Amino acid sequence: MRKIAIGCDPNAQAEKEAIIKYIEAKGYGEVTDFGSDDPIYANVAISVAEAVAAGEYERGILMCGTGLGVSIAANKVKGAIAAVCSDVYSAQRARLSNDANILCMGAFTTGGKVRELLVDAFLTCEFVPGCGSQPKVDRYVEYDMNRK
Amino acid sequence: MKNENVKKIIMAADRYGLALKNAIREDLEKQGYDVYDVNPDEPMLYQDAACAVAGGIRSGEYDRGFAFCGTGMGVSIICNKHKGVYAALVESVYQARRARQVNNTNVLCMGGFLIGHEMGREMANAWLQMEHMVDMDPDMAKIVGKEFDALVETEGKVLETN
Repeated sequence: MRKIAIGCDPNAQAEKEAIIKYIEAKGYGEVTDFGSDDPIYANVAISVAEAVAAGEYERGILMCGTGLGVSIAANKVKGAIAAVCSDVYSAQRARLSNDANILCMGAFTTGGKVRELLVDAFLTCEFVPGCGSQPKVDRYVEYDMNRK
Repeated sequence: MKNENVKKIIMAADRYGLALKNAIREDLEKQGYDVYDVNPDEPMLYQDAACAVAGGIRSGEYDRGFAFCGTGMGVSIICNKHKGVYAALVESVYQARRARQVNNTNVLCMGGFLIGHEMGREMANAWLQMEHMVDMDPDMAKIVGKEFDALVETEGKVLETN
């Protein structure tokens, strides 16, 4: 059973609870909730990103008003590849082209059904090792791993 | 900034668009817009919501309307069946602006399944603030004006023969 970490700031608490129910109902995996109380969204973003980067969780999902803040913060963490998405095509490409391990979404920007569709795309698409995007992903992974 | 040209607004929604409609209505009311919400608490069928809004526009009592359902598709299709009602289904602020500036729409439609409340407010305000052909290059404005006149003419022909 896949382990999924999810967290958000207070702006997305209800939306996060709804998406947790959805993920569990679809059987995508076992969800661990990293919380929703901290308005300093970087805290939950970093916690989720570190846990995913360490391999304790296979995927992370983060939410805030637009999804931007949590994605910016998560991407500061070595090994985290966070993608903020609001359309299904982007969520698919986040996995297929970018090998993202964290999906970020906005409670202010998207409706509940869109977030379900984004989660479907993100949790069902798989990066194909050796695909055309491999060298592109390799470059930023290399930069990430070697930065001071 | 409130558009003083917009005197009265009418809005209605089905069950999937109700919360989005209410979030937008609250924001518009705060700015001082005169908004008539056909169904503040109880959902309607989207067909009825669309007809209520379209009817309001056709009566001349309301300058602009908003209609909501799950994707916004159903209400926009039905609104556009009404002569003199030009409804745009939007998902972006850019589209919302152009829907008034270029297309001279008088109804804006959105989907509760798709659009977050803040995004809905942004699109609603962007649309309300625009007027047909305003802030446009004058040559572009002439073309756009002619295009809308052609639309109205086409509408007349189509509705006659059906």
